Amino acid sequence: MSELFDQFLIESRELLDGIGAGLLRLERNLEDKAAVNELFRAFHTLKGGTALFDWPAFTHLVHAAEDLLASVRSGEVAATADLIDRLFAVADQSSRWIDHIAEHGGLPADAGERARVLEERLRAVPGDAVPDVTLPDAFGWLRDLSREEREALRAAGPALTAIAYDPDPECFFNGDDPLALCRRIPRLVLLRVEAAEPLPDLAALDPYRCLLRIRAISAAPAGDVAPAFRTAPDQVRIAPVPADLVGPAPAPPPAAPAPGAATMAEAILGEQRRILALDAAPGELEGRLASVERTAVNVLTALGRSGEVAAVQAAAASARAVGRPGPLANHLATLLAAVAAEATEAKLSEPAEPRTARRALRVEPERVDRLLSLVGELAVAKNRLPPLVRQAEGDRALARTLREVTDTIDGLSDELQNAVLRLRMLPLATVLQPLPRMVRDLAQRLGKRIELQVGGERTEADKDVLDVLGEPLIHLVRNAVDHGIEAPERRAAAGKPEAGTIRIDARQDKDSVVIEIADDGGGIDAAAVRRKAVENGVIDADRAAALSDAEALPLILLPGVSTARAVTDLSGRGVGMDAVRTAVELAGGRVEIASELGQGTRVRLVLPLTMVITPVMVVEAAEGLFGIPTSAVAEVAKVPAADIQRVKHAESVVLRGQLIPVFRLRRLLALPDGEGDGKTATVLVLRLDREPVGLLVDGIRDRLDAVLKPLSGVLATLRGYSGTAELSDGRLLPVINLRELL
Amino acid sequence: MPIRYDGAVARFEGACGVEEALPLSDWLLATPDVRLDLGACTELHTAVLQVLMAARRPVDVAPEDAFLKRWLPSPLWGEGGP
Repeated sequence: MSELFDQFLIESRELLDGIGAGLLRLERNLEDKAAVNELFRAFHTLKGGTALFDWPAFTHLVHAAEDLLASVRSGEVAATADLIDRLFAVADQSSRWIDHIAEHGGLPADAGERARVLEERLRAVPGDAVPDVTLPDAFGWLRDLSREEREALRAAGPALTAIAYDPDPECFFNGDDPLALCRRIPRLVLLRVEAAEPLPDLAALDPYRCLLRIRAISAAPAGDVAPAFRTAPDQVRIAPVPADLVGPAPAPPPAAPAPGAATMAEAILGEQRRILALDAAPGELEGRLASVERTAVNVLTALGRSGEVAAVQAAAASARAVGRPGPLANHLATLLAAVAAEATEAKLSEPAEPRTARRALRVEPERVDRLLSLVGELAVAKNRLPPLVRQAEGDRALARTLREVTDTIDGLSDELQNAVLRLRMLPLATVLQPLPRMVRDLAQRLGKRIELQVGGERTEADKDVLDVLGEPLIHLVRNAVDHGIEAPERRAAAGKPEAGTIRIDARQDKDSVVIEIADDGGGIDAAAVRRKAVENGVIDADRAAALSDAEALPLILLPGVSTARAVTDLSGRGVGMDAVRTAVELAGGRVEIASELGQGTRVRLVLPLTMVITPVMVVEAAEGLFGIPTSAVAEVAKVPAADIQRVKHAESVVLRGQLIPVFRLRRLLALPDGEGDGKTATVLVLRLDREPVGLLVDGIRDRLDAVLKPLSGVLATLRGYSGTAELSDGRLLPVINLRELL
Repeated sequence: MPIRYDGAVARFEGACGVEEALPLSDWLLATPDVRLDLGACTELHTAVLQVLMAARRPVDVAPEDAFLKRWLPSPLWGEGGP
């Protein structure tokens, strides 16, 4: 629709995130006044946003939550776990609506009904200080009153009587005329005649069956209203209107628009004025005037300035009369000035929240990616300089200058690259944020008590890394809740505090981001892991028996090994840790696991800070060039060719007293056998898992920072490669996926 | 006759009782582009109102009767208001 609409979506999502966090804080400490205040403000602002568009169900629901929080703030209602649950339900519903609005531009058809149900839940406060807030079902409609209707009620006085009259469908045959009965209601403030069910088309309508129902409000006491319905006492319900429905006297909703509302209203009115200033084709003016008029009226109503609606309508009428937008445009200018003044005032009177921060720049990810690919091309172009320097070695002065220029460009290109990569960095908070809520809900379902501590949310990592991280993290935390932390009685029996603790810590470690998920639960039984691994043929029994506990634990990361005793609906069946490992390794990271039976488990995810630029070593094999990710290379060893020993088909070399198995890259790639220069062999010592592995190559050509492009098309099925990089001379360098190859 | 049919115009006058519902319904079904004039209507039986609501055609002239003018459901008034 408009930028304003997009802004609303972004801001409401942020507000809802804040609401989720605030509710969790309040739950930890039910006396947390600051949390109540923040929640109140967040709901209030959200309400202001919804009121600018025409979504009464949304506005009412959020308003009800705000009201409830107001009662908590004033001490009338106590914050309880149950109350927090109900507010969570409102926040969840709001999130779903925001998603729906983002996709369809409006609320779903059942919004009114859902809002009503949730509002009833919100109001049904057990042991509430104000007992009359509960209302029989027949009066749910009282909550759907329009703003004008509410105002009329407020003007009519404090003691109101609600009437729900559902005439018998056969009543016409008894001589009843429901509408005529309503004329006898004393001090009528509101009367709605509506269809009890959608009316059929006229042709299908039985005119002698009454399908209408009547909802009314009177300013007279119930005792005075009842006699009007003497002839139909069984079809009518009469009850006093709860005071809070009309709107609490100190802060009636329209009179207190959200702080941001005036600013938003200013923007909307300005936009309307711009629309009026556009050239209108003949015949278009009418529609445009009507739309501007409608919008302006909505804005005024939302701002609680209903009194000025008539003036807008008059201005629109005179614009229509003269056939030019002038009168309405002029009136809008006046309004705009008044609203702008209010917006400034609102800004000034706003509490000194940390709102003074400069406005964040929101950039489309595609633009950053474009910038990044340019930087990648620059890095490739830069890679062509060192050969030039070598060529120029005949001319020492030229060579020196060239080298200086090369160094400068190298430095600048590195800085540029870092700067662009930083643009893609996001705080880990974005992936850690859903966890507290998830832990809370799961723990509740499982009857466990769990405290979640999260640290290092401000650690940053590349957006792509975060995307990879989300799922495994959720999985690991679920595991900790589900299988890690024991039930309170078991913990008590083991002499532990009843509430378990899960601690998530994120930090940056050189070029990696490290996330640790630790729980003080039952730990993993290494013996069970060993047994399961043997059962599933992952490892043979002898080797399993030889493993220490610490060495056996990582087996749980392999497919088909899971020690969950009970299958719950939370973590599925034995796919968990394997999926975590696969996802993390695909992103170039690794998973470490440590656990002590009875004491707890610690899982550590180590991921590269950025995924986009991969340093690779260019190696040669059978006159072809291949890339090996530098991160996997622990050491480059030049050894006499004779030192490579052959035992049957397996080859190995002894380096500093350690026996290392050696694989020949030529054989792995099915290239013709042959030696390098025949005397010395170049062995890359790779550290993939625990054991070092040697990779014999013909030679090392270069190192470069490669922008890795995934293989596409038919090549995508080649599992031995993780992608290609472009060499300085434009050739493509296949980069080897060592894990697949070895 | 509380409702007078004059070509495509129906004029509601005085108290329009339940007996008007069926003829009004038939007339509305048979007549395209009707004009509904409730100006002189002082009482409208619920059954007649229901026919008007089901017809989903706006009333052209609103009743002068204060109760009816104030409380008849707004969809009856079409775009223009009462």
